[in-house]
Formats: sequence, structure tokens, C-alpha cells
Amino acid sequence: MSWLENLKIAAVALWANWLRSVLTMLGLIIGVGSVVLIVAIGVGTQKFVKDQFRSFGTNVVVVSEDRPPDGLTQNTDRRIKPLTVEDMEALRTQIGAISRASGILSENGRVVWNNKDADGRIYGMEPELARILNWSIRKGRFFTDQEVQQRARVAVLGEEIADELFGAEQPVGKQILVNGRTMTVIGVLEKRSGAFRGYLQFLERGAIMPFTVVEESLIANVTPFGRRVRIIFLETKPGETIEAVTFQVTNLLRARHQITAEDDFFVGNAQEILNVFNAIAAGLTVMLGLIAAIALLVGGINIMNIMLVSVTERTREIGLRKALGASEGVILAQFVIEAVLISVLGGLIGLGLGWGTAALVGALSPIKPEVTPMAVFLAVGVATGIGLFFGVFPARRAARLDPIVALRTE
Amino acid sequence: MLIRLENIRKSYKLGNNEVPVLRGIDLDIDSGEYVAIMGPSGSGKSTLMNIIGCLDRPTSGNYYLNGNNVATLDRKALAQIRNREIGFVFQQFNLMARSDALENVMLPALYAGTPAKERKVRATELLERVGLAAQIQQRPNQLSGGQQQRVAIARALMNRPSILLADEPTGALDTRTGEEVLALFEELNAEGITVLVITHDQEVGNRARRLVRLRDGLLETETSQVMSAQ
Repeated sequence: MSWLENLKIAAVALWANWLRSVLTMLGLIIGVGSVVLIVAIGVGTQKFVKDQFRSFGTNVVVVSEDRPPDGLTQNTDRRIKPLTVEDMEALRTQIGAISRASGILSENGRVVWNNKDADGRIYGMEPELARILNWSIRKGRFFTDQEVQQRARVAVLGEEIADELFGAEQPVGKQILVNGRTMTVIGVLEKRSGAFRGYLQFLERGAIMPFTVVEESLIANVTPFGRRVRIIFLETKPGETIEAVTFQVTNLLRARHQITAEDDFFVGNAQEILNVFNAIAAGLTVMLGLIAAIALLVGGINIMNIMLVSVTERTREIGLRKALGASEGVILAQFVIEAVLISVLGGLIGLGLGWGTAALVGALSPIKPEVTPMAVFLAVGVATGIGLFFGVFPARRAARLDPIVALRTE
Repeated sequence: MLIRLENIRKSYKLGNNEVPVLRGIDLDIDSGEYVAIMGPSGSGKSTLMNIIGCLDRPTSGNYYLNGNNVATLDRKALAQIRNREIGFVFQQFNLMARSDALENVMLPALYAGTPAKERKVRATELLERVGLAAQIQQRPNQLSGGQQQRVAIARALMNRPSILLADEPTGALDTRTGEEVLALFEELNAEGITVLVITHDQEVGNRARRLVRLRDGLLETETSQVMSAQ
């Protein structure tokens, strides 16, 4: 008796009671579907983050202030010095491995147009950063390096502040007052949605201007130590290792800030951040995958239960088959194949469902889940394994039935 | 000799007691015979049929089928004998409800490993032989009782068994269709097939050429009906 014939018998048996077959599969469908979805989202997230960091380059070192949240200062001896434009200049000029330094200046500001005014925040930076941080422009354009050098009086507005001031009017080309100085609006940033909105939300009420222009007028953020910079990006020269540059930056800043104990700044690089993120994402994927594996296990037990019921219900059929000459091996194969078929079908439906949901997630969020061939293979493989494992017990019970007793069953 | 039973005994354990059902049966059946085994309920005729049909094994004694002692064979070998040597006909027809007549008839050949094409040709021939050429693709629930029993007989003949073993074959049929089935048995027997019918119905028993009576696990009398049948 061939596999194909056995498969046909199994298919007929499953089709004869299709609703039950679907219900039998349900646990497995959910299990396989969630494994596929979770792994796809895990892979997609890692890819998304990698893309976010790609423009960053692995030759960029980031320096930011590292201060405890307000009111949560644990170490009162710790004197926090801000990062300043002077720090940035020192890093650029004193460390030979650094080719370029750029930072973000910021202060509170009042933006006025046509007798309407709005509170916002002023950011000074170089266009490079907009590219690194992956901002997109809804209208107009970003300012250029040339405009930074020429101290051009131009501004790019966050969407929220632009809407508040201009409403339905076209902001690009209009003259506005930023803290009393006249600027020309050249662009409006696009509002982000989804998972990474929070990370760029601060820009929604921002007026972004050339670093040099903000530097001239910085008032509030002039500290006793100098003009405060929120974050400094350092680009290393080709051939320099990122670790060496990180080490030199740390040492120089410690000297400048006269650190004796804890650093009041943080030096990081894209690769480090990416590694940490990947570790977290991988850990989460494994954990969620384990939870989904429990669903798979429950699905398998469900299949075993229903197969046992099915064997009991079909006792007479089994008895008849045996009387007609089916050996124990043939009956065993029939029920195992039935269990495997139901599992594989469940696995495929689960795969389709997981894939579909992954595609839906991809359509609605910036993360593009990716169903890898490995996940497909695993899902179908695991489903087959479950069918085999949980199908053998009911099948053995069927195979061992005494044909006399089985035939007498009503 | 097709079937030789030598001192076949069968007992079942009931608690600590051994309850004897068959108490030493000796019976020879030649190829081409038409034998009826009759007896009241509890006489052991079902047990005897199960043993002859290789569905069960005797507690002691020898059972030779075509000269081979089957009393000692393992379950797999018994399955093979049921498949090749014995064609069962049951009181309740026992057809596969989800399969049509043709598929039902082909089933034993499926277990014998006969190629699909050959299966189909033979099953079609058999269905024609039992007068169901037009019902080949009908399912059991579309067939009358008599038609279902004829499908079951065609199925029993599928693997060219040595013996057709029928357990109360007319028990679920009305007199007229029962008569049709018995007529078919006679025809088949005339063609050389050995027929063994187990029944408690005297009229069915009288149709056989040889009648064996069973009472309390022992063969009672044996009547040759060859003359009366002719």
C-alpha cells in the first residue's frame, strides 16, 4: 500500500468531518502563526534599526551629557558640567583622529508670523545631521552646508508649529521672527508616526536653523562653562579605529571636565548601540518565541486528544479494515499520516496567517517584518514533527485494537 | 483439504474461572464445498467463525488452512491470511460509508498491494458479476440492503480467497433479497468457490450442501444435504 493511497484515505477521512478537522488544527494554526509572526517582526525590527543606523556610519562617535533625571540626583558631590561648543572645538582640534565635529545647539524660542506667535524650541545644527537622523521634509528643503557657512537666516519648521502659525497658508518663503531675528522659512519637516515618533517628537515644535546662526544668538544656554551643546557627533578619519577614538574622546573630556569619579558625559558609537539593541531584540524574540512554542505544544496535545476521540469513534471501521487484511502497520500508518496531514495543513494555514499578519504589520508601521525561509522551514517542520509525535499514540491504540471487539462495536 | 480443524478448544477467562466455549472441534472442509454451521446463541459458532476467519486464535488445537498450521502464526501473518485467503461477508454489510461501491470492493486489494489499474478492472468485473454494473459509483446509503450485501460479497471475492466466510449474511435482509443473496452464493459455489455460512436460520442452513450443528462448544451432528440440494 503506497503512501499516496494512505494520504488519499487520510484526506477523505479529514474532509468527511472538515469542521472538526479545522478545529483540531486551530491550536496549531495559532501556534505556528504566532511563531512565524514573532520571528518575522524580530527580524524586521533588527533590520529597521540597522537601517536607521546605517546612515550613521560606523565611523561616528556620539557624545552627550549624562546626568541623572531632575530630582533624582543620588550623588550630591557630583558636579555636572554641560557639554559646550568649546568642548566640541577642543575635541576637533586636539584629537588628530577626528576629521569633523558637529553638534546640536538648542534653546527655547518664540516664533512670530503675521502677529501670531508660538512657543517652540530652536535648534542649531548642520545639514549632515538631518541626513544622519533620517529626517524627511514635507515641503521645501533643508538648508545647505553653504548656508551654514554664510550664516544664512533660514529656518526649517516642525510640522506642529508650522500648522499653528500658518494654518492653511504656504509657510515656505515666508518671513518669520525667531527670538526677534528675521528668518526665511525654507522647509517644513514631516511628522513621524508609529514606533519612532517619540524619538523625533521634539522636532514637531522646533525651528531648525544653521548652527552658526543659532550660535550667534544663544542666550539662555550660555553657561559659566560656555555655550551648551546637546549632543556632539564626531566623525573619525579613515583608518582610525572607533575604540581608539572613543578612548581619546573620553580622556580629553575627563580632563576638561575635571572628572574624579563618575563621568558627566556619555560617549558611544553606532556599533555599540546597535549591538545592545540587537541583543535586546534577539532576547525578546527568543522569549516570545518560547511562549509561542507553548502554544504549539498545546496545539499538538489538542491534535492528540481529537485523534484519540476519532479512533474511538471509528473503532468499527478499524475492525473492518483489519478483517479485510490491513496489518497493524497499515492501520498505524493510516492514523499517523492523518495526524501528520492535519498538522501540516494546520502548519501551512498558520504560516499563511502569520505571513498575512506580518504583511499587515508591515503596511501599518515603519517596521517591515520579514518571513525568512528558515522560519517557513521551521514552522512546517515543527508542525510535521508535532503531528508525528502526537499522532503515534492514538495510531498505536488504533493499530492494537482487537478486530473481534472492534467489529462488535456499534 | 482446504480447512482442517483438529481438537480446537477455546476458553475465555472470567475472573478466576476458565469458561470453555469450544471444547474440541474436529472439522474438515474440502475445497469447493458449501457448508453451513448452525447453532443456537451461545453455542460457540461466532467463536468458531472468528477462529476459521483468523480473527482469533484457539487456546489449543491445530488449524490447517491449505495445509499450513495457522494456529501459531503472529498477528501480521494472520492479517495477511485474512487479506488473501478469506473473504468476509457480515450481517451488517460493513461497507465504508464514505466510499462508493467500487472503492469498497477495491479495498482488500489496496492492502494486498495490487496495482491500481488491476484493482479497478477486477473490482468492476466483480460488481458486474453481482449485478451492480450500474451502481459502481454509488455510496452505501444510496443502495438497498440487498445491493449493499452484494457489494460486500464482491469485496469478499476481490483477492480470490480460498473461502467465502459469511456470518448471518441474510440476517439484516428481507426474505426476497435474502433469497437473492443465497442464490448468489449457490452460483458462486457452482463456479468452484468454497462457501462457509454461519447462521441460526434453519432455512439458510438448509440451502447449504453440508450442515454442521454446534451445541455447547461441540459439533453435534453432521448432515450431508448433497442429495436434497440436488
